[in-house]
Amino acid sequence: MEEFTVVGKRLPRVDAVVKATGEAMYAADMELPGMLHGKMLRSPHPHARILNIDTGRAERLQGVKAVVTAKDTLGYRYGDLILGKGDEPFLATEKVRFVGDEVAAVAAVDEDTAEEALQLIDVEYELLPAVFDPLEAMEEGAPLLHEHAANNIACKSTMRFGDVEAGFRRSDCVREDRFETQPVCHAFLEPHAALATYDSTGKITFWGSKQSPYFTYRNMPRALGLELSKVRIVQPFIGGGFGGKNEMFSLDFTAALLSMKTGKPVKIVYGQEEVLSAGRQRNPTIMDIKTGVGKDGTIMAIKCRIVANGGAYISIGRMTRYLMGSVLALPYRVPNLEYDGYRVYTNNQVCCAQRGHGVPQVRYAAESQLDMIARELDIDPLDIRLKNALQPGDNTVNGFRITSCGLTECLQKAGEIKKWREEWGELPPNKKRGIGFGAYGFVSGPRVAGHNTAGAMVKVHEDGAISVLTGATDSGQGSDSCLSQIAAEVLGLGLDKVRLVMPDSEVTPLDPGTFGSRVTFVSGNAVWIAADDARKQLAEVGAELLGAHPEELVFRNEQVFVRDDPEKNMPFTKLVKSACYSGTGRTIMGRGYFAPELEVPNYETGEGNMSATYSFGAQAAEVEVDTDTGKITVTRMKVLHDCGRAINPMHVEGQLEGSVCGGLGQALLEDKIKGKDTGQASNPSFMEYKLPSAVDMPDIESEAVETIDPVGPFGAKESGEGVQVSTVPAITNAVYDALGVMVKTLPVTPEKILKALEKENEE
Amino acid sequence: MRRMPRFEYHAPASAGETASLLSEYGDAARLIAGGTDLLISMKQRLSTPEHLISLSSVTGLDAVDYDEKTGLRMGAAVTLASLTQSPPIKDKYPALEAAARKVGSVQVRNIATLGGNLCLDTRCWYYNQSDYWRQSRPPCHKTGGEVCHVVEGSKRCFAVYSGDTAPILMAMGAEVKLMSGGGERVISLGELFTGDGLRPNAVEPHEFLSEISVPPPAAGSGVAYVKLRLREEVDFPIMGVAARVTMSDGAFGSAPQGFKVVLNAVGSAPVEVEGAGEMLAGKAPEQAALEEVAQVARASVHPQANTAGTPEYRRMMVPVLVKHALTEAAAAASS
Amino acid sequence: MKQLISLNVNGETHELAVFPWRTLQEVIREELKLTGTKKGCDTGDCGACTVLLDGRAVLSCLLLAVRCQDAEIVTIEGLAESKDRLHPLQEAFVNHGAIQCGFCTPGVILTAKALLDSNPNPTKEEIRVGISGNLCRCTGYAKIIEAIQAAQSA
Repeated sequence: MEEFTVVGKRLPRVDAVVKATGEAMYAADMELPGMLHGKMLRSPHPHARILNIDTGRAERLQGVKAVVTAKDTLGYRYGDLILGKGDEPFLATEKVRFVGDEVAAVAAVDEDTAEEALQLIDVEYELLPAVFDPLEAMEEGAPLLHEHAANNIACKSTMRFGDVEAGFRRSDCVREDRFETQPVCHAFLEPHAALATYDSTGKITFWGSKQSPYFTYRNMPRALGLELSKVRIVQPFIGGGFGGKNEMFSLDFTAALLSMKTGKPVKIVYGQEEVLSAGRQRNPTIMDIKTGVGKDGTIMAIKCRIVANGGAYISIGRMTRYLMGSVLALPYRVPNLEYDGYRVYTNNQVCCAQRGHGVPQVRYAAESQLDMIARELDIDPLDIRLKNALQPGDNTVNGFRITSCGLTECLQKAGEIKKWREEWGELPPNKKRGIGFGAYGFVSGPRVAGHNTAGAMVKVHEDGAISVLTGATDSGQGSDSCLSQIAAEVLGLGLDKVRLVMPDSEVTPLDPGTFGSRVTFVSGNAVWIAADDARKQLAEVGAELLGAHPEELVFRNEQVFVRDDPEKNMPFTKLVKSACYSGTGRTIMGRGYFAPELEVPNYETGEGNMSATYSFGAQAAEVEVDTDTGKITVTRMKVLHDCGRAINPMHVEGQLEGSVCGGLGQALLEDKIKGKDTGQASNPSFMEYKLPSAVDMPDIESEAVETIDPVGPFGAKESGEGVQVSTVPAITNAVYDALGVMVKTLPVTPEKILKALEKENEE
Repeated sequence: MRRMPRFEYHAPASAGETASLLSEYGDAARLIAGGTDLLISMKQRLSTPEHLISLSSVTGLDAVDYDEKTGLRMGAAVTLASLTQSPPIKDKYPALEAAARKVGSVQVRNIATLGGNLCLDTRCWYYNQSDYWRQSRPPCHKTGGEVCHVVEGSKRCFAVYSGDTAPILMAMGAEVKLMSGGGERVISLGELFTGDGLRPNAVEPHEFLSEISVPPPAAGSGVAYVKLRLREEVDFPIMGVAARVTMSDGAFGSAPQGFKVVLNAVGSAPVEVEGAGEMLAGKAPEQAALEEVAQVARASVHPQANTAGTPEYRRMMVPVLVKHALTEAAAAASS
Repeated sequence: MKQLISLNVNGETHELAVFPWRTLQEVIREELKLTGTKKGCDTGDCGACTVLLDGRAVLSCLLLAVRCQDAEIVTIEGLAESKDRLHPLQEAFVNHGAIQCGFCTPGVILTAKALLDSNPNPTKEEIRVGISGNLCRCTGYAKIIEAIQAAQSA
């Protein structure tokens, strides 16, 4: 008999049908009677003092119901999920700090009127000098964005582990390189949307496109002066998040504030142009990295200095600069490590988490440099990775405890693509091909700050179906299906017996949401425990009916039977009905909560084990470079990912393939084109901001490598983020293999390729 | 992005009616064919006409006819999709079909028209933006101001023309018919383009482009359009080159007029490389002959930092793409 | 200023008074409340608002509603035969894991429908080109392509 009946199966997602028919409601699709439409007024200046805002003309426009500015707020500052020292007012108070900063908002009877009203708000600004380059921002005398941050340093980390100088002395090859990365948009197709309604009991009910409704739940009451439980956050379907819908944003607070002012429901939907030109993005970085390696390929030491151009506000920047340093210790054994990380304020769009959060940048630098070192030492790029790969039971210098780890197997399987070389045949003179590898380790449910508790409830319906209630959010990654499969397996039910309850702060238990690749691991365990609790409650009743002990009962294929005497059995539904209807009746409601045993790491010094387990993986890319035009085509990719256990292999593959798409975009296509003097992107559209289309994507072979994690539910770990980390270096290393030149700034454009080739020909 | 501005909508049924609406409303009216570019520029408030005159119900404006003697005639409102599916075009003008396929996405080609693609407005990082985006800077020449954000101190506009069907049609010697209340005039397609970033085409406010005609393909001739872009679909060109050559016995034909090389997306109009015919006629179709044209082409253009691809890269690519286009055209002529 | 138009959507004729400047997308979403047609970018770049107009895939954000008078419009809501019987493409998207966040899904399914109607046996490359006007950040397109291939043989 197979071990599991639901877990490990390629089952369709629980939300797939309503998404295929268009019935799934996203926040922008929702309407309430009497609803007003809100719009935001944004700053046209990168840095300016607000002298006066005159809203009179806008207020007098027919159809306008309210205009709000900072004066209407309590001055609450959000952002900084780590220390709670937020620096971002949701409507600008004394200053604006980047083009797009929100200054005022309007609620009107329709969108057209709200738009018109924005044109009638008169803001008087005193322009201030602005700074866009992070290195310039750190210089003495640079324009200061925030009074509290000298030299515009929002936060820094200083990590010192072992003795890097001694490590370099023992090395046979020491390389120092500077790598730079670009700003990258999350590029979810669904723009931010929020709908809020304030009622006469003083309660706000809010539907928003939030990847972690919990943060809005915690921040909204503080911002609006309400009790926590007087804010109800209900989650509709989410059109992609990738880290960019974690935090609360101006529209969330503003929709609620406008509803409080007008007494009507208010909906605000950003345009994609607003998202791309004023929304969050991935941190651009300048990375100086020095690595020492012995002649046998052993990594001796890494020293790295990273300046992250964080934009106008801190957001989750404290985490970013910690992650960038700490992941230098993944996925290889690094005995000596030194890191100085700065997250710098500039008058640019604000940066936050994005799939891989800080790690893709660093691994691009470290993995690319490793290939350059391997070439100098005449070691095969795959061998140098295998030589240094972390193994189960390892502790890294900064205190990561490695439990399950399938990196070596992933690398070995990735290595199978070397046979691709034999398939190339003779290439035309203007075409060059290459293959490259990248590897990674990634967190799975870190404790970021405060608590990391996930709660779950499993309600058993009288007809034998169940509802799984969690606060974990499915922003598109498939966690609802994953959690449903876990609950179904524990109770021996088919997936079709699981009814889904989307997070609703009034109903569903505590859960901070979707970030840090935590849902499968942390919330998954909570659901496992809750389902098991429901199973135990039912087993008590079943034991009586079947004349056995509760522990002897097995729940499988919608039947309940005695383990050693399967003839003694009954249908699950019959058991449920007996439990619910006989005697006084029972409410079968399983309850579970889980938090991995973890301390918050020290973000300044880098000490600590940030995650109860780590995922690992490797990937291989094959590229073809046109040396006439410099254009790179990724022709094939192979992805191997240690996700512990694939709760649903089809969905794991979907995560891996999606990560490759994001990584390929960052490697080759995506960039913000900076307009002169304003820091504002000149390409705030999907025409000019080039995320990969179907023709830009290669065929991808993806495979889950299972290591059955000791703590994960059914042995599962994350699969949503890790892969994106190594896509970029797999591609840059493939280009390096094809041409012998390494482009050290992203994206690797055709022009950079041609210039690098030209330079090489001169040398 | 704003919602659409207000306007009055007119859907004339005939060319005559179209002409009279145009003369009635003059500058206050804009023609709309497919609208895939116009609607965006209206949402961006780059264009706020009081009247929109739709060409989509004008009878006969979407016809495609081919005659062996007179060649191809295409109504201006034929969609790019139907152009790519039209039997005479697939059969006699495969390079035109291929160029039309390189415009936008499937969805865009299903609506966008040939006339609209030829009359595509010039583009620039600082122009094709919403009114919200543009308020961070003083207005540029093309938005009614007096500065250029691309070339500091410039008195002119450098916005780029990037329609993909124009270069290939120019290479094939196409003519366009402009109609108005006062009658009609036929000009060469090259003459349609003013080279002025502000007002890139010569259609007068009271006129509309009604027909595009292309001579029958000459024996031994071949044409090709190569388009460089970062993503292989959807994108506007970083640059493009159309070429027409004639071949005879494995060598280039002896008549210079059998050759044409047209550069796209490097200036405010498609640019014909002067003297290409003289440089190529009668030569062996080898790298040396192509190289000369390629280098002259490179020297003839001055791309600016106003669209995807840096000026330096676009300039580097001129000779590369010229050679590719000529090679492809030669192969088409020989097949 | 409103114009009376009759719009045939999913086989049903609607008599509507609309401003001429309303896009088809606005009328579909705001007047007819068919919210399966998504508003992703409003500038024709993402494909999330794709609908079928006389069988062809078009961008409803770049079309004026008044222009669609005599056309037959199909939105995602009109694709399935009934609530309990999905269209083979929808079925394939569900079964092959081609749907993640689902925001691009209605548009890409309709584009695929038009593609298969005009070319019942497209190659993988033709599918890639055919759906390149529909952006998706979630799937990397792999399972979308797989689903379209599965639907074409269904």
